[in-house]
Amino acid sequence: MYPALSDLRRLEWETIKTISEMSEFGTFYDLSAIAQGYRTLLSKDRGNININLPFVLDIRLRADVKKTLKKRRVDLGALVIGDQSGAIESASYSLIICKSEDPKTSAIVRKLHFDFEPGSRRNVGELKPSVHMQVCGKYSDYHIRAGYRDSALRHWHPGFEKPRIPSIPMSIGIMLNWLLLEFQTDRTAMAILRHPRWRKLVAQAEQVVLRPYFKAATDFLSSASNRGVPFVEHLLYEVSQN
Amino acid sequence: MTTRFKFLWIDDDAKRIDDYRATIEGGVPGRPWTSRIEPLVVTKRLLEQLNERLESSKPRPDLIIIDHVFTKLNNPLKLKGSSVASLLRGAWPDIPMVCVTAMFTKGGSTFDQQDLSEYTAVFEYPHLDNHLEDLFLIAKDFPKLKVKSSDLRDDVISTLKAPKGDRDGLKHVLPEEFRTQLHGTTRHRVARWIFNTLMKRPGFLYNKLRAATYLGLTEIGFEKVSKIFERARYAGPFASDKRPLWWASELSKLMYANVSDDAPDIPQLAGRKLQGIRSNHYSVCYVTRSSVQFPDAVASVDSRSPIERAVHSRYTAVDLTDVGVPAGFEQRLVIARKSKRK
Repeated sequence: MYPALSDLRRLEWETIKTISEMSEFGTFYDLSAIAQGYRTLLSKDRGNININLPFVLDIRLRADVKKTLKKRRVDLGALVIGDQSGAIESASYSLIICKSEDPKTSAIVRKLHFDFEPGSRRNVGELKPSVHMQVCGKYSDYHIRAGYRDSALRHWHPGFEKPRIPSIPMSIGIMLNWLLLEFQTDRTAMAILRHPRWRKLVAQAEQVVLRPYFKAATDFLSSASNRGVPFVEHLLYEVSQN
Repeated sequence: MTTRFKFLWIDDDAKRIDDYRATIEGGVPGRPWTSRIEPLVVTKRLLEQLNERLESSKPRPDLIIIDHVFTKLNNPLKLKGSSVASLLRGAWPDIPMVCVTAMFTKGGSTFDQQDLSEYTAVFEYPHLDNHLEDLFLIAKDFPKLKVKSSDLRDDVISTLKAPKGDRDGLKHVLPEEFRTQLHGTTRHRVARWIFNTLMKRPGFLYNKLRAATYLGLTEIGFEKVSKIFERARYAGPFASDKRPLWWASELSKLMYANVSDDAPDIPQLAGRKLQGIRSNHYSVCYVTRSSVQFPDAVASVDSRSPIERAVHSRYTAVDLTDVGVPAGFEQRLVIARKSKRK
């Protein structure tokens, strides 16, 4: 249902390379330079994945008093931890969208986590979809260093971990592409979305990340032996059928 | 009031100067500019000629036009226009220099990167008429690039009259050399970057076809609503009426300020909601001929052609000959499929 750590690592390495090389990312503030830095920090072949990409997008929200574009800070992160055998222990892709540009002073409009925690790693009776989205969640050390304040998050009640919503698995490329699709009001977003190299990378990411997920879902739903077995409970929550 | 500029034209071929003298001296139709050409036909005494001209040329020229290769000259030192530009710059650091050459059409290979960096712009002979306005714009606007503060990048951005929202982005993409110490050729390098990168490469600035396509319109449709976008017009150095440019971020901003709150988030669809726009103003994909599958990109018809068309990005490919695209600018796309897949 989830890609192997080695496949994910190679994919994220390729994504970082693409971001650092595509000139169109040059106006996302330091994103190109930061991605360039990760090319040496992130190994293609070993270790965990720990990436944090801050940038600014021109976003129009209909609830804004002035109905036009506003620059908003976005933080996208990935923390994927493997065990000694190379299997994924946990994966967490995070997203923060600020109301304005400076994380030190801005309110937080949205904070989401897209997590993966395999059933085999959870305590018996700990119910959660193995791949899920969680609203809010806590700051990472990186967020604290970037200047995010606890007070900006308090109204979201970050300690409340539920409900966890079943979700598709993520990668940096899939998540960034999704964000750009949502916020096409940003002119750079348009330039990236229509770029053949970016489109190819996203299609590759979908093959690596989404294909195992949807294949597992299709196999489950089309199997005669699963007839009458609830899909969400048994496949997504990995609750034993016995 | 008409401004009369003085152009010094350095060439080994007097006929070439004569061929263009009347056109250039006559100025640009509709613009209050004329010029006087001061020819310098180079001989084997080139260095002496340059020295004499430096002493005698009063007032100093507003622009120097230089031929790149002196083919008619017995030239054992193999001095080129770029060498002359470099020598003159020592004495006249604040005068722009452009190259006029036939090397493009002759398929010559005597240009290298260093040669190009000596000139603000390179124009093709015999198509100089197409660049008449550029010659005058360079002469007129080059003095505006004078460094005023301790931070060259701030100076450049303020001279460009860049919208507030683009200033940080521009600071990030200005060439590294503009962050370090100033030197004698700084103003030339800044001019070169504005003329050859900022104004020629899509990214921050869009030409009429790109601006229209970005808003989901044909060029005629865009003209219909262009008043709304007057504030987005590029008005910095070398801004041309013949080839107008618009700040892309401002197009977006002004368009969303002029459509209803429930307008779509996709600019190509939102732009079609502007007042006065009818369905015949909707942009049409070059491949599908459809305005429903709206074009979201502008691409060249092939990698050698300057002709560009609005097209849906699914029919494009990266132009592999377009290498070394500066950060913040868009890579050139070419139309990869000329028809819909059956």
